[in-house]
Amino acid sequence: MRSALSRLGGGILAAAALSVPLPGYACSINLTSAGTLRPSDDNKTLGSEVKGNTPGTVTSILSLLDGTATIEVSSPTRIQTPGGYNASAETLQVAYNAAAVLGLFPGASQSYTSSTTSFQATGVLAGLSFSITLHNRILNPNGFAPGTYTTRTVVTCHP
Amino acid sequence: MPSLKLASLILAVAATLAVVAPAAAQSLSPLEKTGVTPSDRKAFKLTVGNPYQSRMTFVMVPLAPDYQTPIEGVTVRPAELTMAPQFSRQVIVTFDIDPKKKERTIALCVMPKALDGPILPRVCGRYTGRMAGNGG
Repeated sequence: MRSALSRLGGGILAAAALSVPLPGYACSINLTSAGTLRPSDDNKTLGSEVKGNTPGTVTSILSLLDGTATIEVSSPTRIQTPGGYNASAETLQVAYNAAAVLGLFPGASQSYTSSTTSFQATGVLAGLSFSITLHNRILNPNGFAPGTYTTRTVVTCHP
Repeated sequence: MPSLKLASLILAVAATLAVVAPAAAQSLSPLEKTGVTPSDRKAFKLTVGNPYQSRMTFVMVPLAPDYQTPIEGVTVRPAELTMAPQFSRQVIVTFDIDPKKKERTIALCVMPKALDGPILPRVCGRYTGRMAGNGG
């Protein structure tokens, strides 16, 4: 069986309002959708843009009266594979797009990379909200053994 | 001028969509703070919130300012928080300062404990303690 697929992560979680006062300088990142990887026909790529489009998405909310936050997207790591998988020639990559918010945030995008990358966003008085769409993929000329594969990308908001 | 009006309207709508309510979700506040201490320990009171729509447990992880390297000499109370949706709680982070260096900066990252999926969202703050008499 070549359906080396994994349903990655749990259900959909959405942002919610908090019963807390507005802080002067705060950040939130909420997982909205976990995303799913699928194998290519030649079984050498496993990715969320293969034969469809099932990215992971997060929503970031910045409430900064005076300051800029950095959103850092780590290089992906592999946290689950089936037995018999030969990882010796694999490459893990992440790509993302942060949607622009007219007049407030220019957006950011990154093509597939194996490196940790980042971009900056400046909050506004009442809070800036934007979403980030992330794709993961694993390239492996040795192919993928049947089973479940899970990658992990850490998305960090920090000063 | 019609085109300007249209542009203004578009901008206003976009701004309305983008600007969330003041009490909207947060995970960690403040993100950055510096304080002076008369001793060789410094503490900060931080607010951690649950922005999700379900009950969640968060862990507080002290790290070096690179947000990656584990560090010693830091206490976070509580180090783990279970919160109902839309609620927040305060945590106290206390860390030692080497008297020879007079100053120390740490990072504290908040992340969901049980989220084992492909995207791990975390929010990290950076906190500096400065011993009195060191320009602080």
